[in-house]
Amino acid sequence: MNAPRPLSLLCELTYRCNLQCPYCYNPLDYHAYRDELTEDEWKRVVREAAELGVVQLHLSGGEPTLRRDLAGIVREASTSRMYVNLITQGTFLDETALDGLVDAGLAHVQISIQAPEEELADRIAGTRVHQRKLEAIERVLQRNVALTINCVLHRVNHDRIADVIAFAERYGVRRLELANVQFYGWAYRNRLALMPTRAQVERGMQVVEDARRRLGDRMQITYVLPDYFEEYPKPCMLGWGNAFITVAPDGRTLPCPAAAAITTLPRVNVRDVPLREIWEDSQLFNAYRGTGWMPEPCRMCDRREIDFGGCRCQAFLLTGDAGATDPACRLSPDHDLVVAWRDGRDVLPFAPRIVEKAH
Amino acid sequence: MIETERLCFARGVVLREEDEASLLLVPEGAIFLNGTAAAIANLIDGKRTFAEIVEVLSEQFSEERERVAADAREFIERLRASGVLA
Ligand code: SF4
Ligand code: SF4
Repeated sequence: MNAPRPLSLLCELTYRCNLQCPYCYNPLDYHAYRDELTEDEWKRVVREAAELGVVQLHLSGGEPTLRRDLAGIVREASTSRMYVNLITQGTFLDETALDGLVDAGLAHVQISIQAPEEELADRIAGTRVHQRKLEAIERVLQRNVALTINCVLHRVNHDRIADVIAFAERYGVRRLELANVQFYGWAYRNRLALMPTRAQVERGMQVVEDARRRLGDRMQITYVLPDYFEEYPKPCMLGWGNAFITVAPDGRTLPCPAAAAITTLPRVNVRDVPLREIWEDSQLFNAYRGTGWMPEPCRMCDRREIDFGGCRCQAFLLTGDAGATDPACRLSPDHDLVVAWRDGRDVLPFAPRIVEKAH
Repeated sequence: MIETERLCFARGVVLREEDEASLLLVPEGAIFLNGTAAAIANLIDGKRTFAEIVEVLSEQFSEERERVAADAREFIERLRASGVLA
């Protein structure tokens, strides 16, 4: 089938990170991705994406600032007229690093915090870093680059939303993203410890609504509900192979950052195959493109062009079939899986992502 | 909206013009603009006020000021609500 124009490229420059968040969506076997693309290879990927029509580059990880060649990659993208967004936890954004990136044409930085105050934040991050993040936030605010504060929400910090908003307000931050945890990688492993309760989610909605009313256009607050608390799934990646390309640290190329978990699809690597060919012709990108692959109940559903049948990775993780209707949908024959897990009462301690390292 | 206020994009908003499309690039993605929207976006430069933008547009499209103002107001309010304006 004809491939649409991709708009966005996510380069996961490395899976290395000095934090140990239990909600990390990186794959459990992130050590298998040590053979990272070189600076020149990343630049080639960026150029090939620009030729395909991509307008936006997201640089993430792991922690992307652990790559010393980051500014060079940013410059390559901004020279190709791409909008460059850095997704970081901020602990290495000192003056020199930040100035280098801004000078290279960085348009936006997203800094994540684990919680609004040090003790809890550092407990979730598994290490003492909160203070350094605060300094990075202040530094970014002084430069000509846009900033979003991001906080991933889960059972442990969900009741602190009001404090997260107050935190952002204190810093005069214009954009705040409250992202409910998504269950991939380490987060999937820790799902029973991380799943917020329905009461938490409902309170959260109320808090956010009040804050939005109070703050007006002084602060944009994004609060994305977890789709397992809604009736229908999210339009994951705006559809498989429709707008997004992800490249993992070792060059493995995927329709979404979580898709490496789908073991039933063939692998393809931008080290071996040009990006255009991967986008247009690979079996991987064509597997769930459009609506032709859909099973019942999606096939006849009038939401099929709205949510595209939901998330393929979630379908695979929960049912073993990446081509199934996303179980988050209440029409899915597997919806009871989500209900059981969502309404379960077990509160387990979470495992920090580093644990696997010893093996 | 105050008609004499100078309109300016927020930090991190970039207007990108291509041969066949105009897009506003914002941190969370790209907004494709139609012809009128693109013409308005082009005039947002941190110097022009809303009234001035309407002035230019109505000349450009040889349309009545009132009609242009109504369209432009709607678009600009939408931009403001999504944090695109400073
Ligand atoms: S989620 Fe935490 S551990 Fe994972 S990459 Fe981000 S900061 Fe590092
Ligand atoms: S049945 Fe499929 S297309 Fe319809 S709402 Fe559910 S997931 Fe979406």
